[in-house]
Amino acid sequence: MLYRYARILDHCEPYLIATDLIASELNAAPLGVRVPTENRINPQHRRHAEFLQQLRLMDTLCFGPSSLEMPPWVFYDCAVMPGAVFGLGTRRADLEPWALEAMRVPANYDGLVPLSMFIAIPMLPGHDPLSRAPGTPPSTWLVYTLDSMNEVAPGIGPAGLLHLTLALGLRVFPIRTLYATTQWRNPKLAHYVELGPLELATAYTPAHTMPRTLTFRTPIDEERLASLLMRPATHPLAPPANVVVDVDDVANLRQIQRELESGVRYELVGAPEARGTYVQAPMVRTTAEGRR
Amino acid sequence: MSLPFHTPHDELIARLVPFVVAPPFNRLALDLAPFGLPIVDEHVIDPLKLSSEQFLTLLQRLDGLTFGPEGMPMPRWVFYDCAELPAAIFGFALRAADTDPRLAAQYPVPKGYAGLVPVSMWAGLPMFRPGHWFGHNLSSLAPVADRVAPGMSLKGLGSVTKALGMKALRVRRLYGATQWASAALFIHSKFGPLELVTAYTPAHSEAETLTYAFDATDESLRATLGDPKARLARPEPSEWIDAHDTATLMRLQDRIEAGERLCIPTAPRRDGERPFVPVAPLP
Repeated sequence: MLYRYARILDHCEPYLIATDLIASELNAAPLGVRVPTENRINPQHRRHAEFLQQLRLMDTLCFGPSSLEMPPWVFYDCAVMPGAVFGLGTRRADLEPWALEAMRVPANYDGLVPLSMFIAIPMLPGHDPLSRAPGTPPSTWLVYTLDSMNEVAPGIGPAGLLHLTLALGLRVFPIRTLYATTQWRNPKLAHYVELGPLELATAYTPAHTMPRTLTFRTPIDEERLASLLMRPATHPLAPPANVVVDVDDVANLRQIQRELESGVRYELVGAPEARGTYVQAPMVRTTAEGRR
Repeated sequence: MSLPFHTPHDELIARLVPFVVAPPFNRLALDLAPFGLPIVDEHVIDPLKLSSEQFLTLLQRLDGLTFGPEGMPMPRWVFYDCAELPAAIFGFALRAADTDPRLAAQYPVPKGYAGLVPVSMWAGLPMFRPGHWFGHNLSSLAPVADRVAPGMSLKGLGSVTKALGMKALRVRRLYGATQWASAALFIHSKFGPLELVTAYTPAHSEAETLTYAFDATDESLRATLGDPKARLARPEPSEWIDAHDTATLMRLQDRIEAGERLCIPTAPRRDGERPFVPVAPLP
């Protein structure tokens, strides 16, 4: 399944940032792409400080323009302590001079340069967490960061970097139910939707910095993971849309949110598409009595 | 409302309202009557709902009043992605009508608001192992109250909130990070000896941060709440660390990375302005 991504695998190496508390529980060879020992980063060890600084710079470049940059304490407290970070990176020799400058790679740095990242943390289960059988991993996870440098500097890394990072990241963690948050206009939504229909938990989220954020969940299984890599023209699990939503129409998003709160179900079944200035998201709306 | 055992904070607990922020799918994982203190349905705030916006804004302001001066306020998206959605927040509030105007002005509480005004919170994230959590936010309005409304003491609110929050979230082992010189270390050390997981942490905003862990038992939570019947064993300190001595912190970190197990057995002490933190070996 990875033949389409050979160029990435020729030029990039996977890395995994995980403390000793979780590292042995994760799959360090997703789809056979083994994370080299030297790229297994313990964020609590001093010798990895330079790599973490480089990752911090990448986060600033990717999220700074949206004011969603992650303060370092959040990276520590809310990413690598409860969960872990997976990503792909490259060596400075594989980066053109403009790319080194864009990523502010110090002249004396010869370590791995991160180009993408995927952060997942466990969520509370829908039951008493202490009733989970010993040795059973948490099944519900939240992905709140997925990015690649290509999104802000197209061409800095091989094409498809974000997509492969998502596909491999979902196999690193034992995720059975995936939750994620992203903004309606974020092109990354198109990648997630290739997993299959995404059930909305929120359509409009005032609790977030950017209220035009959606929260969604989807089961993760082999069929969905395979679909993400194969990218079929029509997703086998996605029914045809019965509603198309203008994702910049706040009044409409709030109305959908009110409906969600009253028990109406919404699923995003395709990537939002821009038509002129209007970005439209195909959805399936289902009431208690059946589809609209 | 009160706890089934006596503590020095009974009067404080009686005049405050406990609340939880959690989406519906996380509720079953929580203990909504920690040590018998009931959290009524009305005060379980659903962060996914539009109607929760005002309360969540006040919660963020509470964080700003606590951590803003330290330069580490929590961005709104972090509240959502790293507390409200994946886990839960526990805290205490006052009803708007009962809130001293001098305190209300600090947020500020909007005119006409009739809901709860949060005065403390504890937030954490579940980790890989069941019952293991990372606590990342303990906010209390107590220092602000001392400054702007001296008659209205909220003394002890931080300890009470963290202990009851851990009970509500069913924590069995807690990890946390704090700065060596932080006054919060006095609260954290009430729970018993703190195992040192890191002593110098470049991955954090401030490298002079320590990561600690301890097992949470009813005994340790009751001891923190001030139950005189609860007693905790603590080893004798073998050394005292100057919280501002970075070279020593780095050497401690090297010892931890080499496999040595250390703990902070008791509260720090101050020598003038300089805090000194006790350290002891663990078997």
